Amino acid sequence: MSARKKPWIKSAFSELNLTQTTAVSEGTPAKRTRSTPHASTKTQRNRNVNSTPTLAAALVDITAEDEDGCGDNSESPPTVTEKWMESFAPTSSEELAVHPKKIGELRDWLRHCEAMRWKVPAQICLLSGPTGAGKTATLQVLAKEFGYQLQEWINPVDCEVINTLGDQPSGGSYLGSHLEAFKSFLLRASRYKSLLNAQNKRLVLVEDFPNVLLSDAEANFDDLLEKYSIYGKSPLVFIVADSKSRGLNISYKLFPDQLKAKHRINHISFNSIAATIMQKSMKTFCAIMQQKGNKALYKVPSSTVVDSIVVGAQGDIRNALINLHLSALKGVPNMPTKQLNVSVTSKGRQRKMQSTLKSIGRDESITLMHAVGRVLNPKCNEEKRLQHSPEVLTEAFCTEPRNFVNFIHANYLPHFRDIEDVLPAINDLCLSDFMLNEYRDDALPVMGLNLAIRGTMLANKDPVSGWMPVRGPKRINVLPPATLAEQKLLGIGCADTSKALYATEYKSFVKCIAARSPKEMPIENEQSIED
Amino acid sequence: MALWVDKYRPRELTKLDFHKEQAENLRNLCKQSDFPHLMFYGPSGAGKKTRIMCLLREMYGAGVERLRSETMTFTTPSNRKVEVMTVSSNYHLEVNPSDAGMYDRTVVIDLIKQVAQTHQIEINGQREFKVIVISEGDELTKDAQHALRRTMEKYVATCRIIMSVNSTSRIIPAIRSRCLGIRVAAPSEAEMTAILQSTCKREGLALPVELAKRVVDKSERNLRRALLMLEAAKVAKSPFTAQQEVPDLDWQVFLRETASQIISEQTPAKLEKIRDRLYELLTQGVPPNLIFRGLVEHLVSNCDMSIKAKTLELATEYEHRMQNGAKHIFHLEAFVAQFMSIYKKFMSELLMTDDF
Amino acid sequence: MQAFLKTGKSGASSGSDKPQGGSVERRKPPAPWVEKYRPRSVDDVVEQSEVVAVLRKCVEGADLPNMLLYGPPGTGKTSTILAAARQIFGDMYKDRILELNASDERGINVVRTKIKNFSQLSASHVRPDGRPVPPFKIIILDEADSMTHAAQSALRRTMEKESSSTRFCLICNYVSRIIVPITSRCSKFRFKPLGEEKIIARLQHICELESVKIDPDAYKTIVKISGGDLRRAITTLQSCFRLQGSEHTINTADLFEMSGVIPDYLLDDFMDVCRSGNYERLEQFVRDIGYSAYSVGQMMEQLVEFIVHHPNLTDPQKAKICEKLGECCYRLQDGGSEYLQIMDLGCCIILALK
Repeated sequence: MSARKKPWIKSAFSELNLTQTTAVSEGTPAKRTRSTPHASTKTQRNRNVNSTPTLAAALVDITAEDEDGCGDNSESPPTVTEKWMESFAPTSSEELAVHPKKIGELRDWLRHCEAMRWKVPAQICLLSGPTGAGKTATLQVLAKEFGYQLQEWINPVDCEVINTLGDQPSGGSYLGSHLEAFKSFLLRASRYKSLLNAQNKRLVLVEDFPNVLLSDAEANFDDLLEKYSIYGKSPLVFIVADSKSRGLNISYKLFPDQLKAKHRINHISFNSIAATIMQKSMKTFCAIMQQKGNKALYKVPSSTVVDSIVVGAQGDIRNALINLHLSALKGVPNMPTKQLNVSVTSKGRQRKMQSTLKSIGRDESITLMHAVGRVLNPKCNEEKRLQHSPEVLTEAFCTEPRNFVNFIHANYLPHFRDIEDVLPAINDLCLSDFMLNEYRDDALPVMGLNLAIRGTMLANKDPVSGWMPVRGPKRINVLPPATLAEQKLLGIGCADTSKALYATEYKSFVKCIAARSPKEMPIENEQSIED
Repeated sequence: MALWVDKYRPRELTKLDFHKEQAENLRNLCKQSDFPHLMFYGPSGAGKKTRIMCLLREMYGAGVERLRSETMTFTTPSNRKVEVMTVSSNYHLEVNPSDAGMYDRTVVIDLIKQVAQTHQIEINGQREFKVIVISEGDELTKDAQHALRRTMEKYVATCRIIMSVNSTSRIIPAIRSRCLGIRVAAPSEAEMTAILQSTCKREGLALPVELAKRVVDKSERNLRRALLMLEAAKVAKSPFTAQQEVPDLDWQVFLRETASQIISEQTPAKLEKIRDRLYELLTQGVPPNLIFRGLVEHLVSNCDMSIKAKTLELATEYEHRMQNGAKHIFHLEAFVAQFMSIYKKFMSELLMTDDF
Repeated sequence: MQAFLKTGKSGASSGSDKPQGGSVERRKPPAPWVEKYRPRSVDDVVEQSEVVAVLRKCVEGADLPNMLLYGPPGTGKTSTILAAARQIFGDMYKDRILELNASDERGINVVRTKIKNFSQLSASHVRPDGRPVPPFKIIILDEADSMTHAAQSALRRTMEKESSSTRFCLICNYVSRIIVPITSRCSKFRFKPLGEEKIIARLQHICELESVKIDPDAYKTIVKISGGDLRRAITTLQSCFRLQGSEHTINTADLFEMSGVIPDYLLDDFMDVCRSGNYERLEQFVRDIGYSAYSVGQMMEQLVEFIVHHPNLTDPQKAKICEKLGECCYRLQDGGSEYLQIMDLGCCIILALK
């Protein structure tokens, strides 16, 4: 954690010594805070490879392996170093588990950057995709290929002003300084060389977004990019992980389409890694595990375990590697697997039994869909009891009750045959909404969720069977109140009219009057609503 | 190019068209050096805001009409930024905290503190205090109202509050007792007709009596709506004819159609369609309590008394629950489902009795 | 009166007082009568004999217990404690009192910092000029029922720890909203609604001093309107006086109009409409109520009395109606729509009368 304690400039300007793979084993301190913990120089003794301080993405680093493979490992007992992951990192584009097309896209962009070097505007690129899709790994490998040195922004932790009085609005100082730091990093990192390094070509990477940008001020960000495209001398890459909730989705929030168009941001979106490719890289990993340096540490996991890891990881290669690592460690008992009924989209419509690891796997979204299905198609066993207990479902979603209830609400109707059955269901949903809104009691949300689940399951006496697509809950985005012409018409006196009042009293008339087009206008209004 | 509503809004207490006696009382109030917090209450479009502006003018002179609008930003305790539009002059500040939603407490308190701590610039001015006009005060959350109650007393030396509310029912008693209530009843139909006529005269238009009557009927004693409606009608067709179409509020039309769809079919599939329509209404910004009211009004029109009573019972229950819930659509949908069920039973019973 | 409003915690306002000095007195904004006629001493407090007796002892030198004052609004809770504090501390009053109310931030943080800091200040038992003064400070938590439970629990520890130098006085409307550990640490005083004579006496006193012309019958109307809330009674009186001007003699009708109380004939009309059993008429009536800007909440409050004492209703009918009335009142208070609630009530009455 040494880097973390340094002032931000140091950490921000510290570089990833990607291009110096050979030199690394001599012990250049790695300064990346996230993936490379401290003590990198001292770990030589530990014969587990900790050479390339690359990101924790997951492919084989054969070169490093070869160089460090000689050895004194017989002397010290094998221990898992904190950087075991790096020994699996990819070094060349062939080793990447990413689809070649995406690699090609990024390569094209880098080539383009090459051509545009030192020219205005500076090139900007946005990489987005689900976690563990290999975004960072791809960039690192390609940067190395083109001879770029990566300079990454890392959020400083030392300029945080702790607000002792939680209810006092904090002054602008904190926001300002954080943002200022980010600004100056962006503008300087590309212009001034590090003293420690003679590398000429640099690539600025932002993966860790300053909080200020996330909470608000898209305008700030626009400004920043504007400046960068004028002053920036190196290509700039943003890496953003997709997120299900819109509030956290940076690529959605910070990079609206207008912004992308305005600054000619090249957006490459990665897909999650396909099962076949994943399978292949798992094999490579296993191979690495069997290499000399690692043999003491790892045993060979059985193929069922490997298969279930691939299924459970759902395209997240980093997660798959961690699972593999855990299951392959010597001294760890075999992972229990459980049979999973997954219908595979093969042509023969045959159902293949697949297993997934019981304890690991991150299939939240799948279970959400499954759980919604279970609630909406309640099945009873012979003893007239529900096959899937509402309590189990409740427990699974007690962290996000609101979301689950919304999902039930958005999807329950098509599963009901009779309006009479709908009544208890919607009534319980209402009550549960009411309970979820009661923030003063911690137990109520869970009870509300349980009520909604149980209510909906029991209400549906005769469920409509058959496949129905699951829809996400709708969000209500109230339309902007008035166009410019309408606002002008209203004048300053009405500026404090609330949205609700405007919508109910003014809108329809003002629209007609503002349009000033005779005769058809009122009728057209009605039609537009029909649509 | 201002709307008629604005253009012909009376600017002085003596020029008000109706409630003249009350206007006289308000003038009395201004004559004294002492001035209480006020609460104007009355239905939408009855002229509360007009009276408030007239009163301010009476107190401070024409200076209050030099308005500027500004967007003020408040930071809530949870460090969230809330933006609120305000309109102000040197003497007063108008704010509508209802758009701040659950953060209205911060808005109200900060605003009053800000205003109250800046004394009137002119030392020799008419008044030592500024006025804060809070529109739609009944939309304030209970929390904000509680906060307001003591703040009102605390800063009474430098500021006065004038609230404009639709109904005092939702104002907590503590605030009610701290304000002087001014009841602004809706204008009578005769008064409205007269105003429409005089407005048209000033615009140089002839308004046929039948048209005026229809506009008045349609506008539900809401003068603002009547004037907007008339102006929209004028845009559609000018000069006026007695038979010309009077534009409706489109959300009302939409709501009416929704109600008739509910009556036409009672199935889960239909309910889903109705849900989409309700979403549409909410997206348009129509407040859910108005949707509730509108639905009830239209739905009960051709049922018998017991069904009506039952419908209202359900409506009140769900509407109340909605006020305490977060997802308005759940409760609207629940009400519609309940109504569908009763109505279906009612209709099948009717058919049964017809058979015999 | 200024002192009431600026209790020494808002630095800006208390600071600005001094340089202006005498000129403040001259240009002092006219005070609302409620503030102007707040009791100056404990003995001025109208009614509330128990608490007055206790406080009088304290003024005379006894120790002050932690107190919880509760009761309906306008019965003199805040006035009493402020008057007592003023008597106990004399001119040191400002330094010895911390008054916090719902409009101040009163989350758990405030309890932990502001209250704690204040309570840890030591209080000497002599004044600067050598006269004795009780060695404690008072923290007044007005509207304590709107404090969160978390904040209240944080408070109880502070109350215990600082008991040597600090007395707490909690003021609230509903004692049930104060958590038990706190109530058990306080001596509770219930403030009763004031009796009619007491209110009238107070009003007469004010009318004399302010030279208000008023119809003698109007006093009773004020009492009826205010329902034992002295603040409301005084406000009503003052508002009416302001609206009508000083030449006008205030009469009952003015007061009704002013206070938003619904005239009795409307209640009769409502019953008639319901008796007719015609839904459309009911709807029209409700709309008209809305147009004339009468408050449905107010109407329901009055209806309770009206229904209970109605001569032509049977007891089962009254029971049915009152049950609904209670429900509707509750929902209305809780944010329900006026129109729906009164319509629901109307339908219920129609069915009950059938």
